[in-house]
Amino acid sequence: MAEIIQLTVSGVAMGVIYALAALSIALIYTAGGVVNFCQGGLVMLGGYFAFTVLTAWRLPYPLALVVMMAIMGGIGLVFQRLVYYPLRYAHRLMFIIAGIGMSVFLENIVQIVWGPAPLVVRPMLTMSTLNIGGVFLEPQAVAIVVVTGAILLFEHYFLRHTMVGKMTQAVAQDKDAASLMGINVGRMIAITFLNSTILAGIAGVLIAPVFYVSVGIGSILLKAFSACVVGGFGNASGTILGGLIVGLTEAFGARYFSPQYRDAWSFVLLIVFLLFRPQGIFRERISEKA
Amino acid sequence: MVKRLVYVGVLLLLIALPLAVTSKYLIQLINTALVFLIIVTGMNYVIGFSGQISLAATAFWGIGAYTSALLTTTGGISFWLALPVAATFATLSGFVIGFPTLKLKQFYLGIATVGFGEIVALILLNWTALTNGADGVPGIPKPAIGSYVFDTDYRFYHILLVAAVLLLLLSVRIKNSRFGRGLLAICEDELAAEVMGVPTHWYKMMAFALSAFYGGAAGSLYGHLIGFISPDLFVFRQSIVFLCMFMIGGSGYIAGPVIGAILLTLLPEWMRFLKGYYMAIYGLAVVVLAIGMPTGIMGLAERYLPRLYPWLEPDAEAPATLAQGRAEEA
Repeated sequence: MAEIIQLTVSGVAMGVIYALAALSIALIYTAGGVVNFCQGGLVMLGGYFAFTVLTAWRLPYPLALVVMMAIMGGIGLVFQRLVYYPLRYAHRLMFIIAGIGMSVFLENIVQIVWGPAPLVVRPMLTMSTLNIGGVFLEPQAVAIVVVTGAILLFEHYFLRHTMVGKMTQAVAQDKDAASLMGINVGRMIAITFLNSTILAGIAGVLIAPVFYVSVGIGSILLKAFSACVVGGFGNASGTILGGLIVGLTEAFGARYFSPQYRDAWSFVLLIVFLLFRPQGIFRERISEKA
Repeated sequence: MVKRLVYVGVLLLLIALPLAVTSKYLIQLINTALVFLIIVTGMNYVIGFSGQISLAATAFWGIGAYTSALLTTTGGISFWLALPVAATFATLSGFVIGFPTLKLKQFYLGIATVGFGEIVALILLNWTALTNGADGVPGIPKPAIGSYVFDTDYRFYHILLVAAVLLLLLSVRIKNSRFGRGLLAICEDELAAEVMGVPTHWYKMMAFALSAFYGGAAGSLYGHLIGFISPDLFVFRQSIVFLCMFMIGGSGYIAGPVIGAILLTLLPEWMRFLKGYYMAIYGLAVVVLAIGMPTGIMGLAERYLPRLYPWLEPDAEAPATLAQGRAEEA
């Protein structure tokens, strides 16, 4: 029983990180109508910046998070301007190809800037493992769940209850109508990229103490995609549920089947869903967009 | 007619090429370029003609290489049988991935093929009983006809040349067929193609299976060429190298993959000073090409060298490529 609870906690902790990465993909997908294959690279970049602000500069955690979010937000804007903007009318294939190229570029640039060796980042809570009635909990896992929960609440508030958030949602639903309502569509898409890149960066910061910071973090892309497909592509609450399902499947699959194939589980889920329920648990909210 | 004669002449020169190449190293590079040329030509069906995104090239290459290597070493089968079996097996795995994903929007195939590549890499590394794990498969036998063994790079060159020429001819034929034009229509506008009576799901599957076939055949040839394969060859990074070759040559052109594969196989040897930077440069090149030059070198040739272009592209009258622009909708 204790083991099941432990696995559930670690599965949920990884799951919410996948959910963050998946949400960052879903936001761009709904607003820009494109799938960004570079999102894994951005999560990885967040991990490397976490090393810079936390280990190299020795900033306290809250300040480090703010600095890191500012950096990632800036990168999001630059990415939007240099890669998305020139391709916004091109064949959609081209943005996917550019995203793939960009992620390879980032993976190799970080090895040049930060060196090829995996880096250590200190966890958010520097206490030893908690023992609650025979159940061992990693403090970082608890911190991940709490921080992600807070961020998701904030996102919900931002998207549903602020003017800017509502404007980005309007753009996601119908660009032409939004434009006729006086919304600056290009700026809203830029804000969405900024928001999405910050989310990816936070996922990187949270995951950094769990594993070492290395280019391997980029493989979170596949898990985030699986989360998107499981939950329903472009559906925000769906992707969160999808992330949890992927995280739990992985935790239990690795424990009870085979640890070597840990990374295979998200793919198995992906294929099963594509075969039997390609629209995901929740359907895409905005179905075929013009 | 003149064009045909020129092609025959070029082919004769290519057959005689090993006589002119004295460097053993250069002939190795040329052989590798021919293998990559086959793979990238296969990618052309999916990305270039039908406008879908696939990152499975390396996976099919690995499946082909391992199938053929294991059949000939532990299975004791002749290369001439193992080659078609390996290509067929890769094709079947292409169907398995393509069937559920090609019904859906374009990017689902891209997502599934990223996963597929990782799974294949995991299996090659971890299924030790079958694949020998990280140690790889050594001693892959060289093909032979009677007592003539293709045991040097100079001899193997001719097998690769025949395979590459046949597969390129197939590609020209297919592009010109009803099927090929159907694929171009799908790329332009899938809904319109469907309405015009193109069986879009089936055609996309065929294109994907063809690319798997090319990848599998190239994998088999590569294993027997090098004689030793290991899982670290078939990693995702290699798919990016293929994508870069594809984009540089020119998406949708028959000659594009040829130019891209040869250029990017020979070029890194001349640019050794880049050392650790070259993957970063490949990545950046893919981004820059997608944004600034989506039709690659062949696209430039078509626009700026109208005299030369018909000689480069076997089928110069046909519409070349799709990914040229147009804000379409999914």
